Amino acid sequence: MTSPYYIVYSVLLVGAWSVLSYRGYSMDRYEEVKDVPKTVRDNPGAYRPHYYGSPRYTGGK
Amino acid sequence: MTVVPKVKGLNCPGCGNALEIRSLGRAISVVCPACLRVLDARDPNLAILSEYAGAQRVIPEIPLGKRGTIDGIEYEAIGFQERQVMVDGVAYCWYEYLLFNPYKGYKYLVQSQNHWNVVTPIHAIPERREGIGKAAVIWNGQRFTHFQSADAETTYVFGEFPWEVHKGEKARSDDFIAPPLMLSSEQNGGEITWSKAEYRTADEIGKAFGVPLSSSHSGAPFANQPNPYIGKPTLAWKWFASMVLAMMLLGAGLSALSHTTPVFNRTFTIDPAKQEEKAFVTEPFTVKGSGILSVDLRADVDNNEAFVGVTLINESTGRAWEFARSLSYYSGTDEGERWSEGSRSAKVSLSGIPAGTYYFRVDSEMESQEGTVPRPIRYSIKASRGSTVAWGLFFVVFFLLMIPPVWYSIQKSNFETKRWLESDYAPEPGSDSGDDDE
Repeated sequence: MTSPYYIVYSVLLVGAWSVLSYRGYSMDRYEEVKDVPKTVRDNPGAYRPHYYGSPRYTGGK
Repeated sequence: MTVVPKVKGLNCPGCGNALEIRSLGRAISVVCPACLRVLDARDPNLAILSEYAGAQRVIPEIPLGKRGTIDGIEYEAIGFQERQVMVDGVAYCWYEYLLFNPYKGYKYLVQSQNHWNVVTPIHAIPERREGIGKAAVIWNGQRFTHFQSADAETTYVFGEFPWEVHKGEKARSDDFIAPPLMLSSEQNGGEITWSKAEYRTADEIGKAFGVPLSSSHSGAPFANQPNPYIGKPTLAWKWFASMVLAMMLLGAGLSALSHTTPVFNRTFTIDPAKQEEKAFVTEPFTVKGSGILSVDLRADVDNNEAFVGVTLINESTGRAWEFARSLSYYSGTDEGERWSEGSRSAKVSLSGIPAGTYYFRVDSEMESQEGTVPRPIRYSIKASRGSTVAWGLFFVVFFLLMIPPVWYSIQKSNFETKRWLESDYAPEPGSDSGDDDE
């Protein structure tokens, strides 16, 4: 039997991964924002998301 | 009933010091602990065989006369000698205790840099194996690899011995290892003797003899010291494989149990010719249950690029999740070979999205190229609710699980490297610079 520390460490890791997989976990890049004003629906162009102003094109070969 | 041989009390003819001969009838020489004269134990008058000329005394950590139990048999320390080898002008010394049991005979206890070995003479001559690589001997079916050879010299001696001992005695020694065992041959004149050494810790020997012994080492492993990491990498790698297998089975099970429900699916058009507002919001849609909310973006770009920014907004709470992706696809022919790069689609998985009513705010743009009028492109946004196995995180956990077995493997290898650095096979300083400039 391998080291009990490694057993505990690996069981915790695999357990955490299983829970996250079951509940849903994403490593994708996105931003969470609170309290977006309700006026967005009426005037969507006035709202400035966090990605506003970031580079938009990667360009081709 | 057996009669235990008694200790005989005598006096040193040189200094008058009281002597106790413990292996009476077997001792050939005895060294007076007071004046260090070597006396003839076979002579009733203890004739002086040689005088001690040295000035420096060595105090053994196990006093002579001390008894200790080794492998269930009680032995008494009756002799002590210091021996040394010269390597590159540096003297390396070790201590040898002669142990005696009147029924079991002699054993030796060798102390070298606080490493200990219990040494037993063997009678079967090991079979030598010469060939490519290190020389070896086979004994009792076990292979022992040559470690080092040296000329050992006795530099200090006292107590009693079953041979005619004297300071300055020299012998050629060859050590072969199969940790925790070591076979040593000693050649003195035409006589070769073989012995088997078994590694013991200072704690074991200290407890056996009831004396406190230092267990601090210089850091370098002893020739036949067992590698503390032996077997650990194999066990750790096996456990690692079982954990990865468990994760794969868990992931497959979760994938089989999971189901996704489409919650949104619309197609839009970007027409650069139209001067309309680029940002817009969609109609509301309902997200139920729990799990990942996957948003798939797809655009029919062809040698151009579209930027799509999406904000998922909860209608009642105002919480929002924002992301943007560039969808690009370029292809062509370069020196007769076709090439393509980019992707027409992107997938974003959002976690922690509670059930509720949502809508998307979308803004999109197309890359404008000088001198061309870009054609309108269609793009779609699909959203679905459902659990998705975190396969991205799987690889993170995979590498985290790999750390201990890799560490054990490195430690095991480092230990062996350090061991062999002390051998006759250690690389010469500077000999590893194989890429010298021509």
